Parts: sequence; C-alpha cells; structure tokens
Amino acid sequence: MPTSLLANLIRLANSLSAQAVIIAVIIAGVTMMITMSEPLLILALLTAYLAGAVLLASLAAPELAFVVALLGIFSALMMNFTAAERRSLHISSRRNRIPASFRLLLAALALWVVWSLGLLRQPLQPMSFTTVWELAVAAVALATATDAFKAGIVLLLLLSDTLLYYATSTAEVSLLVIGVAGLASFAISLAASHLALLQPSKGEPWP
Amino acid sequence: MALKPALLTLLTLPALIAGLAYFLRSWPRASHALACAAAVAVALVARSSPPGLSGDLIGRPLLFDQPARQAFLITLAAVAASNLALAIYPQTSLFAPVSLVLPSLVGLALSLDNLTLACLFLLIAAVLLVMAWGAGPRPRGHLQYLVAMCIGALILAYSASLIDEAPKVPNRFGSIGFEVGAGLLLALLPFGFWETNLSRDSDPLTASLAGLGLKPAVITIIWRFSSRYPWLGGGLLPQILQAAVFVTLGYAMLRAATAPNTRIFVGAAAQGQFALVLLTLLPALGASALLPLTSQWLLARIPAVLLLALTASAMRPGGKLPARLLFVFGVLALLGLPGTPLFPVYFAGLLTLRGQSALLLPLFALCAGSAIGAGQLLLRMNSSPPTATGAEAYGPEGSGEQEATTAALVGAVVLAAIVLYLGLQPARLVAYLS
Repeated sequence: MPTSLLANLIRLANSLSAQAVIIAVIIAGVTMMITMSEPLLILALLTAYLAGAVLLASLAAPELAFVVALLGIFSALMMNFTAAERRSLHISSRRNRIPASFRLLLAALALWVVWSLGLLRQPLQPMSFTTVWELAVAAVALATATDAFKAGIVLLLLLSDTLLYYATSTAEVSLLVIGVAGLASFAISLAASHLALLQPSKGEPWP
Repeated sequence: MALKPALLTLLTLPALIAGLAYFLRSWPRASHALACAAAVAVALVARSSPPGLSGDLIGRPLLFDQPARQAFLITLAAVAASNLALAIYPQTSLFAPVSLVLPSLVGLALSLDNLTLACLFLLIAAVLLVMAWGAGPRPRGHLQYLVAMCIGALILAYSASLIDEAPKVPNRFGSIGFEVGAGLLLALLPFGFWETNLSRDSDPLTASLAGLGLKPAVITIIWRFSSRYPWLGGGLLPQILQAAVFVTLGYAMLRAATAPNTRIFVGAAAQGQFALVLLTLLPALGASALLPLTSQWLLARIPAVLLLALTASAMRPGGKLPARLLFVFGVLALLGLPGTPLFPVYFAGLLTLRGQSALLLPLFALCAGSAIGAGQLLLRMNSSPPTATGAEAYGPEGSGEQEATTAALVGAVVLAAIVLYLGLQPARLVAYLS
C-alpha cells in the first residue's frame, strides 16, 4: 500500500537524528568539492537529495519529502547511466588542472565559513545549515569543475537546495512548483549527460 | 474572424508537434520543414486570437496579455526562420523538436502569475536548448551557457521566494538576487562572455535561438514583475541595467574588433546587438519601471553607433560579406527600425556558415522590408499624434518631448548615414583615423 509505505518512510526519516543528517550532508559536500570520481560524485548527489528528503519529512510535508527522494534517485540513475556510457567511450574526467590539494583547501575554507556563521552551534538548525552548506559546496565545486559531468552534478545539487529552501520558507507550498522543479532536474540531467558524452577533439583541453 | 482557442492548448501545441518532429529526425529536411510549418501555423493562430486569453494550469491562472503574446510570437518567428534555414541546409541534430518545445515553455512562463514558476519554466527551456546544438569541436561555450542559465534562473527563483514572503516590503536580498539573476539570464553579468564563446564553439544560426527566443521572454518577465513590485523598479536597478548594457556593449564590440575570424565577430557583435536591443525593446513594451521613457533612449544609441564604427576597422577591405551585412543591419537596428533588431544576428550567422549566393534573394527581401518599415515609421511619426502608449513612451512632457525625439531621430539617421558610408569602406576609415 502506498500510504503504509509512506508512513514507514516517514517513521524511518524521523528516527534519524539531526546530527546524522548533518554529518551525511557534510561528507557528501566535501566529497563533491574534492573528488573527480564519477561514482563518488553520484553517491554524494544521492546522499544530498536523501538528506534533504529526511529534513523535509520532519520539518515540512512528507509528500514533498517523498517527491524529493524520488527526484534524487532518478537523477542519480540518469547520471549513473551517463557515467557508464562515458566509461565505454573511454572519456575520463579525472584530469583536472586544479590540484587536489587546492580543492581540499577550498573545502576546508568553505567548512570554516559555514562554521563561523554559527550554524553548527547548539541548538542545531539542520535546515539552515544544509541550505547554506550546499550553496557553499556548489560555489566551490563549480569554480573548480572543468568537466561537464561534475558541473551537471553540482547544478543538480543547487536545484535540490533551491527546492529545500522553497519548501521550508514558503507558507503555502505549491505542488506545481515542485513538479516543475522536478522537470527542471531531469532537463539538467539530460543536458549535462549530453555535454558529458561529447568527445573532445584531439589536442584540445576539455572543456 | 478572430479565433478563440483554449490558451493551454495553444501554448502546448508546439510541444505536442515536437514529438512528431522527433520521430521524423531520421529525415532532417522533413523534421525541420514540419517544425517550421508548425511554428508558422501556431503563430498565425496566436496572432488572430483575441488579446487577453486566459486559462489555468493545474489551478494556476494563465493570462496571455499583449506583451506575452508579443514575446511568444517573436519566439515562434525565430523558430520558424531557423528551421526554414535548416530545411534548406539540413543537419542531423535534435534542433527541430527542441526548438518547438521552446515556444511552449516560453509561453507558459510568460502567462503565469508566479515568478518562481516562470523562472523554472525558463530554466527548462534554456537547459533543453543545449541539446539542440550539434556537437561542436569544443563545447566549452555550451557548458558555460548551461551553468550561467541555471545559476541565473535559480537565483531569480530564490529571490522570487524571498520577495513573495512580503511583496510590499522592500527586500534588499530579494532585490539584489533579482538584479543578479536577470543580469545572468540576459548575459549582461559579467559581460556575457559565454555568449561569444557559444557562437565560437557551435553553429551561430542555432545558437542564436537562445538570444532570440529566451531573452525577449526574460525582458517581458522582468518588466512584468518589476511593475508588480514597484520598489524593485526604484533604487539603482535602472542605472545598474543601463551601466551593464553599456559595459557589455563595449566588451562585445572590443572583442568583435579583435576577433580573428568572422564567426567570433558574429557572436561578439550579436551580444552587442542584444545589449542594444535591450535599450530599444524595453520602451516598446512600455517598461516604465525599468528605464525612464524619454527621448533619451534614442540619444543613448549615439555612443553605440560610434562604438560600432570603431569595429569597422576589423573588416578588411577584401570582403567578408557577412561582417559587412551585419554592420549594415546593425546600423539599421540602431535606428530602431521595426523588426530589424533581432534579425541581423540570424542572417549574419546564416551567411557565415552557408553558401552565400542562395541567400541574396531573402536578404534583398529583408532589406526591402526594412526600408518599408523605416518609411512607415517616419510617416507615422510625422503624421499621427502620439497614442496613449506613444505618449507614455515619449514621456510626460508631451509635444515638446516628441519634437526632441524627432530631432534625435534625424540626428541618429545622419550619424548612421556617415557611419555606413565610412564603415563600408574600412580602408578609408582607417586612413581618416590615422
């Protein structure tokens, strides 16, 4: 029964503590800023979406949480298919002109900025923290991304962050907005996949 | 007799036909011809329908007012023109179906009363366009465009949520977000450098659909919501917008002047052209909230004409017909002739990539149309008193303001004639300058 499934999912989401969700979001964000590995990026995206869904289940309407979780799963699946296709075409995104140490430094800086804003102090405000942290992650990851695949993942993260903010800041959440945002996430996945599968010409750095 | 179709059917019809165009993609000519015919048919129906059509989308009211219809028709015209060109010179891509989806999304964005929803529809349209462009040798411009559009639309959606919390109270973050989001969507912030990269890295004919289809819609949405929230139109927004237009124009013209090939010239000049279109199109829409509507908008084009004249030295005496034609159309567009501002980009892009001889006839037709439009404009200005909209456009001062506008127009025509004379003979211009 869909209703009982939803109820079980809500119970599961509510049983997770705010600390666990925040730790998951931090790990996903740091991964997204540092790594160029496609499977890890997909996993980080999925974690960010599911963490958002858990927060929505406890703070806003559970139906929205279910929709956001589904969006995350489908977006991650689409990007996973793209990653598999890239592997079969021998397109690699591991080359990045920006060294990993610099990306790590930027990740630490972003974490320090969010920490200094006081969002991790007691009492914890998981929603505010997640919104600000994901924005910082998106800024750093986009600034250091040199690959369409990673840029697509970060844009999806940004969209999920917008959704999260919209769902918690607006008094009357419109399901049409959530539906159109879902369509937008599929469109971004498709466009990023299209660009990620284009072959770079010989001798040209990509992008 | 005016048709009265259901609004939602009218807006989604192109997207429905896009499905058929997708299945015809193995026959590119048929697919593009179908897309062209569909765009023309929908445009005819939209044009003959009475103004103020209304409907609803899952409980949300839809209103198809005059500015919305204008921007919808511009998008359909752009889709029809590009698909006609591609039916003659076919290429294998998803351009036909994706370009047909674009007017539907733009129409829905323009008809909705909610800025967040409008931004999301524009975001989908902008993102889908990436798939319409064929695989270029270096798709860096595509990625830059994708990122810029996504960030711009999401920032605008963010600020819309902030503004909607208390619509009548000025909100600093909402206002800044609105300006930054609009600046990114209009490729004015920072200078819209990715627009020129987009033209460099892809087919300018298909890439220019982003400017022709999306930007008029963004302008209309900005105008509508800045009118709804009056505090948005006050403050520094008009000045910031004007400054951004001029800086972008300068950057684009400088890049065009130093461009190593015609394709980049076209792309850079297209961006500059669009910055100029902003100056001319907003008053035509009655966008009083964004730009003060006085004859200054006409005078403001004179520095732009001079900047365009500087780029003439980029054209070598030996030829480059596309660049020369772009230059001619650019000067015509600077005069605000009906229909010209949006077309030079198209035809110059067309000429850059395709065989030139086959296009002499359509170009001749366009020139004749421009000349007729210019004659009509001059006759209308000299014979008829300003209408309600016209009076608003010429400012509250009435006839004195109209005289100033006529004087400014005459001045601009003389200046344009000089620039055309010198610009078409760059060697002579360089000699004068040196």
